Amino acid sequence: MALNRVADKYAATFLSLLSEKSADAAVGEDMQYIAESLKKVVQLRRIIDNPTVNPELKGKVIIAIFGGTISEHTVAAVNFLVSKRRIELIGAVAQSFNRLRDMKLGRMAVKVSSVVSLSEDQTEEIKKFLEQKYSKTVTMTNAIDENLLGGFIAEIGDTVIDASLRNKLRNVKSKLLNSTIPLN
Amino acid sequence: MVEVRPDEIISILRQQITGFKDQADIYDVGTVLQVGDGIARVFGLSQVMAGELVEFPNDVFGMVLNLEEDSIGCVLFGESTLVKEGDKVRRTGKVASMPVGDSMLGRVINPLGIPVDGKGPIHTDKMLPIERKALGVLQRQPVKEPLQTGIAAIDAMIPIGRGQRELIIGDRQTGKTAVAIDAIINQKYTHSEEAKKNGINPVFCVYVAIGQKRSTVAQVIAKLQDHGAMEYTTVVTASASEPAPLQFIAPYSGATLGEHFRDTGRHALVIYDDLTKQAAAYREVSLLLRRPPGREAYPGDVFYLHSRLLERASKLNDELGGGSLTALPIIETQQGDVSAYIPTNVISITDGQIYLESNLFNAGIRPAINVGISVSRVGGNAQIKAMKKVAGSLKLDLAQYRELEAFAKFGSDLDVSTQKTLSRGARLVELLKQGQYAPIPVEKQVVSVYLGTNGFLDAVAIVDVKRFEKEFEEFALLKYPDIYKSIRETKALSDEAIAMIKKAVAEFSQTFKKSN
Repeated sequence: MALNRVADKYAATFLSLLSEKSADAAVGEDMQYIAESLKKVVQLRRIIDNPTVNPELKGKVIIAIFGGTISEHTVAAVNFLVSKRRIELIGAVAQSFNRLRDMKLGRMAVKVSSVVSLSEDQTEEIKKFLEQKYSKTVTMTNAIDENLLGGFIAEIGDTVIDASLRNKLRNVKSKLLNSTIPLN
Repeated sequence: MVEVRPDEIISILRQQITGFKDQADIYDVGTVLQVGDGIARVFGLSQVMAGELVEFPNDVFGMVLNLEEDSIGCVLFGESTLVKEGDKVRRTGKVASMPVGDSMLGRVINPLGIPVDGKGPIHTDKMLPIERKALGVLQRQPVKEPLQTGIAAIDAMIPIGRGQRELIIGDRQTGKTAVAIDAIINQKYTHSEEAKKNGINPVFCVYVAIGQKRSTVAQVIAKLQDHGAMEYTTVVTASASEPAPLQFIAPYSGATLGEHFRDTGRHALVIYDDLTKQAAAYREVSLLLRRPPGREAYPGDVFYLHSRLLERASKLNDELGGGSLTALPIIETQQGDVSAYIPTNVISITDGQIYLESNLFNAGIRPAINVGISVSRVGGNAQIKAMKKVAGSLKLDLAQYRELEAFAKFGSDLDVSTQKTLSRGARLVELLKQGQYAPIPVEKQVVSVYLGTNGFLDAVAIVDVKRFEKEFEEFALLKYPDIYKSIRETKALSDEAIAMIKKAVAEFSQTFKKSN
């Protein structure tokens, strides 16, 4: 994770430069796309992480894959990372970029997990609650996690709002274990 | 056997659950980046406090020691094999604490306060943090009450006061633990009705075993039980097979338990056996957390490690109840080298030290205390008057004896006064020998020392000294019990008592049979 500091520096530079050209929204989407692809496609991640692969080749691979869909600014950013021999940080830079952009725009990424997919109303309600609590715009992603048994959990950065049945049962268990029951 | 009634149990359980608040929990989580060797690196948890307890899966707890820019370093108090990379770590919002209370007495616990003696859970209603700040200057007062160890050599020449920190230092196999255990056993008297009448307050004991063999700890516990000392003692154990972090916090747990007694106006004696191993455990943890090594590879704050622990020993002022916490740390030296890093550190922190030497031990002088270099910087004020009176010349006589002893080995022609000093010294050394687990009450120590320093033993052969002492004691207890009674009650050696001792010796000497 020590390399994250480097990634933060690159991301911050890109962000300030691109906001001047007001191209940050498009690049933000591209970055999100690249970060997610890296997470999902193992082969791509292996190439990027492999130290024996030439950095220029890595850059070419990325541009060949994403070239058609990403904006010219993103291509420039990728090329810049290649020239600085930091292309293996692309995933971390992409994440930092979006994190810093969210921070700048007063937005907050929230991941909500639940056992069944949430209805529109429920999503709205959770969103409204969170926006009120943190006074920030909330961008929500949903995930299904059957281990929760019921209810939902919302992850906001490090903080977790746990309204799941699993957690409630856990609390009941620890309470029962720690209490003394008077038997006469 | 209590009759089990299911409906009653159900109703109780229902009651317990109805009180349960149905609320969403808000907590912070992090992700384990790396785990192994009893430490874990965690990403996230940006709000966590230093020293906070964090919860890993499978009921493993950890303590945060390092706060770094983008990760934190924690030590694990449980099996590190139960934690995997990518596991979620949860904040507890509490600094590492332990339950304290009087129900801990007679129990064996681990440094987190969990019983390990199989006698069931311990019910206490108080939690105290394991790392606590030592008290300030205003809350304290000078040490004034004696803490009798029951070892004549210590109580006479290196007296320990309640609230003092006295280091026990020596090589392996010199009887360091024996001194400490004897001190615990001797506190039995302070819990008796008679002690209460004589104005002596009870002393509660905590024995902290750090990095020792489980068999050794079991032996100590058995000995304490045999002598009825477990009733007022708690054993905190982090044995050699326990993870290093537990060994490193064990003394702090012991101190926290001792502080519970101190803060409720009572007296506590805490023995840290031994701090050398604690320092080694801390070194291990520090190196794994990548803190830079210093001298002997110990981290830079190893002095603070011991100074903050021993600073917690204190004598409270009367407004705060006048309680005390006496600390007897133990340090093991290698080949008598007291100039190694840890020994010098701890020597400089404590209020004196008791040196045990292996050559004395092998020569049969047990306890193997080198009274020449052992000191107690504050205990003198706490000594009872009677002991102060008789012990003054004891130290001097022994010092002169040691000086001449070396010469005497060469020359055969010695003048009368030299011979006298030598024979007196040899008898005093013999007098101070004492068996293990046989602490001597202070009044008996006073009489014995009086006999020795006033020349009543000069006519007795060296081999007979111990027997003379013992038989005289029996004789005097039978015919002149007032000697002991007056010392015990007034804590002073009156002229009448001296006269009585003289009379008793004169009578007894006539009946004493020399061995052949």
